[in-house]
Amino acid sequence: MNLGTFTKRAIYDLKHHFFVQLMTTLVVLLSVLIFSFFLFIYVNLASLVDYFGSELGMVVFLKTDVDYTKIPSVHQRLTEIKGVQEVRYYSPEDGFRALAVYLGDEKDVLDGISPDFLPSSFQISLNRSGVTLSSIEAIASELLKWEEVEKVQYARDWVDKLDTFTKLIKIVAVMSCVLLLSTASFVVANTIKLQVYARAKEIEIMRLVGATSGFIQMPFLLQAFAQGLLGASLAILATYPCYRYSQAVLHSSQWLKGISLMFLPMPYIAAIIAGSITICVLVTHLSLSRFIRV
Amino acid sequence: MKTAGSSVISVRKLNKKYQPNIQALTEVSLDVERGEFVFLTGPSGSGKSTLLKLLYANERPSSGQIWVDGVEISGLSSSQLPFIRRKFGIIFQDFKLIPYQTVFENVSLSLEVTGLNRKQIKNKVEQVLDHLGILSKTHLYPMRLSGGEQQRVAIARAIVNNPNIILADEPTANLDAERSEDVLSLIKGLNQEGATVIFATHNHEFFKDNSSNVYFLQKGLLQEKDGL
Ligand SMILES: Nc1ncnc2c1ncn2[C@@H]1O[C@H](COP(=O)(O)OP(=O)(O)O)[C@@H](O)[C@H]1O
Ligand SMILES: [Mg+2]
Repeated sequence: MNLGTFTKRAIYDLKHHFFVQLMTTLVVLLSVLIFSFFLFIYVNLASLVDYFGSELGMVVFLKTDVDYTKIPSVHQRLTEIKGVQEVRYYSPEDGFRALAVYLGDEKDVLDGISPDFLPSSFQISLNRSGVTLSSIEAIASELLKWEEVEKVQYARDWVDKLDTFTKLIKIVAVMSCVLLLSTASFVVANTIKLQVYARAKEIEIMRLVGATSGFIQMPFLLQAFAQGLLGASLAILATYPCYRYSQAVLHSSQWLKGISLMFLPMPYIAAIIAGSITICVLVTHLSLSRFIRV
Repeated sequence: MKTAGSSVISVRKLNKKYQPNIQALTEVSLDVERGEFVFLTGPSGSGKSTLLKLLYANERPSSGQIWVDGVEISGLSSSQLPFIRRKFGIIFQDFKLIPYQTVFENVSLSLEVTGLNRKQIKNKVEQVLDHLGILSKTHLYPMRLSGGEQQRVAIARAIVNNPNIILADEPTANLDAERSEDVLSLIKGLNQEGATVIFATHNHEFFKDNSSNVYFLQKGLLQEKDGL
């Protein structure tokens, strides 16, 4: 097949239906933009959840009646858990001192009380990488099965809420994706319909001289390819300044300074562009098959 | 009676019904031999165009069989039809040229669909335009040409691909008498070079010399004429 001829036809159409083509490309662009925006939030929330989950670590309280001689072995076993980075032991006395500091002037209330009423505990910090919320949960529930362990504490509420929010954003992203997909498809299909009607006579003549449906469709498919590629690439380019801006905002905040945002990962970008092209080409092909008889 | 085997075109018991209830062709049978020149005549609305459309598979028959070069086309899938159409050069009353393409581009189309490269296309197109005496119009748009010249462009597009069969659907109806004779003798010339021709026309002048086979369509029924 002669690609030059097709390109020529596609360019001809681009010139003669410039406005419609522009609008279609814009719709594709906007759709991808909105979707990438939600995806961007989702990707970063997911990493935020992991960040907080591992940042906060967990505290393991032992039963008060645990034999002191067993503590080194518990310590050892804790260090051996996958994902655990550091384990620090806090004796009841450590806890007692901390409590005294916390009480300040009121520490008299502790007079005459033995530290024994406080449990021994281990402060566990987790590996930053590779630790997710669900692995933290798994570790916690595993620890609860140990006979020496009374209680495991971690920033469950916080992380749970963040996690729920992330799931919500995920749903919103998927829904927006479906919605935008149908709008964009609708617009692309209508542009095609318009062009097919505008070129009805030419298409009829092509058929008469023995053009295959592939030959007739090719210029339209090339256009669709260009629209999908251009729309998605521009949308992703437009997301980038948003990313830089949010990052700057976070950096200027005292509390959130530690969080670094990430831009859409490369495979996601590739998938968005490929998806956009596929949708445009597929919708075009399907509507052409409907409008052009063989 | 001719046998289906030796014919370029064979039609058997062909029926075509348009929606909602128009019987355009009824039990039409026809054989056209290789190299033959056949006139197809009959009043307006008698089914001439319909018969031709069924031959080049622009419409599908309601029932009956059509053989083109020995291939039964009513059973073909739609993806095979373009290759059947390339066996035909088709000429119309209204020329069917693309107004925003030059003469060259209009004629090229027949070759582009077959996937020839630019150089081959250029050679063949110029050769055929030269043959039809319109080489000087190569880069003009159809609007700038007279009716007779436009029909020559259409003929050029029909024959540039060396089709076995030429189907002409009232190609002279929009032309004055002189131009009509021109086009007829052009197509007769192509017939002498070996093409099989089916020529639909109102013009009885064309076959009064009785040198060709003439078929007469009346309300979708076909009769072979034994002269007038
Ligand atoms: N696409 C169509 N849909 C419905 N009826 C049609 C269509 N094409 C032709 N007809 C009808 O079929 C009959 C034959 O038409 P046609 O083959 O064009 O005749 P001719 O070419 O001899 O004038 C006419 O009655 C015409 O109205
Ligand atoms: Mg007709």
